[in-house]
Amino acid sequence: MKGTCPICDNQFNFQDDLEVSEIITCQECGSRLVVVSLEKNKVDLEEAPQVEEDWGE
Amino acid sequence: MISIGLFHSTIRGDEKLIIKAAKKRKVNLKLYDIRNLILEKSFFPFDFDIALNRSVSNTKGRYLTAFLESCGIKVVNSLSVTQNCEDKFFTSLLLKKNNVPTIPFAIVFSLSQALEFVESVGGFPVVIKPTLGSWGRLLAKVNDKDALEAIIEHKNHFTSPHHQAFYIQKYVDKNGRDIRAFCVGNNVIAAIYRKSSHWITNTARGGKAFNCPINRDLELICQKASLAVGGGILAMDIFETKEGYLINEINHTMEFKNSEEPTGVSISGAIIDYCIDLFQKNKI
Ligand SMILES: Nc1ncnc2c1ncn2[C@@H]1O[C@H](COP(=O)(O)OP(=O)(O)OP(=O)(O)O)[C@@H](O)[C@H]1O
Ligand SMILES: [Zn+2]
Repeated sequence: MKGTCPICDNQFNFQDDLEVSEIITCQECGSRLVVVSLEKNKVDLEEAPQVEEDWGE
Repeated sequence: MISIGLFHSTIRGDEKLIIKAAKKRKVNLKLYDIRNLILEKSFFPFDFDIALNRSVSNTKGRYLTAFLESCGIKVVNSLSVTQNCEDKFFTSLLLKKNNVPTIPFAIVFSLSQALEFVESVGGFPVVIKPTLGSWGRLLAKVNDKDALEAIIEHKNHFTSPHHQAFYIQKYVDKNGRDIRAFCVGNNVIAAIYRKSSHWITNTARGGKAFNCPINRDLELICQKASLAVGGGILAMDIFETKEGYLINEINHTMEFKNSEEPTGVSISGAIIDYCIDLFQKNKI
């Protein structure tokens, strides 16, 4: 599965176990990204949401 | 085959491990993004046997659990455990009430009360933290009266009322490390040391994880603490002092992805097994 970093255009090759809503980090520019949709061979990525005050363990 | 509803928002490394662990077992794991749900009976997809709440947002997680329990569904963790653990003051009160060794603490609402409390625990330093909060955010180690004044003045400029309740703890000298123990049901399944040159040792803040052997005393304090807040799947933050172990706080949606490797324990597997067990016990 392939995708592109929306920040720096870096190309990714993902493994099959990728999930929608999964957070990944772009190795190229360090951006935190989230998987918004998954189709056969195309992965849509967006910048991940900012940490909110009530996030945590 | 039992099906577990995994309720999530963003999927972190922790959830990925849980998904992997479920695949290795005979369970049907169903993923639900909490952000896409309507918490009302006629809208809700009730097609699982037991719910595992892994919300990264405390607010969303708490409402989801309250909703599911009201519909008669078992949730890991339960609403009462969630409420007991998400607020540090509630946790501290329960620990104290149940004679679980913990750090001297108080809530105060003003500077003069803060000073009075600080004196009663032997003076500075103390730690001020938000009662609701995680990952070591907005924690302040306060070394003297000037700093205390500044912190309280700053906090008075926060608009949110929960920042106007100042939760203060005595500062504990913990030798550059603390312990995070992972408890599942009544078992302490693994523990790590978190080491850092900074006084905040969270792995989310750069602390490094090393295996921590579980001895009888550690096991006992964890079991007591777990009982005090209502059990379930919990991560305990523990300080080692000359006087013995002290529980700092308890987390009810634990992060563990950095701990499976150093401990060699499948924490994700234990989480899934606990859900299966709980469902089966509940059925009888
Ligand atoms: N009273 C204290 N004395 C010494 N160190 C402390 C004290 N309170 C907190 N710390 C340090 O700061 C870290 C974070 O504190 P605490 O766990 O209370 O905050 P948190 O934001 O809830 O973190 P998390 O929930 O992610 O564990 C602790 O693991 C410990 O290293
Ligand atoms: Zn990038």
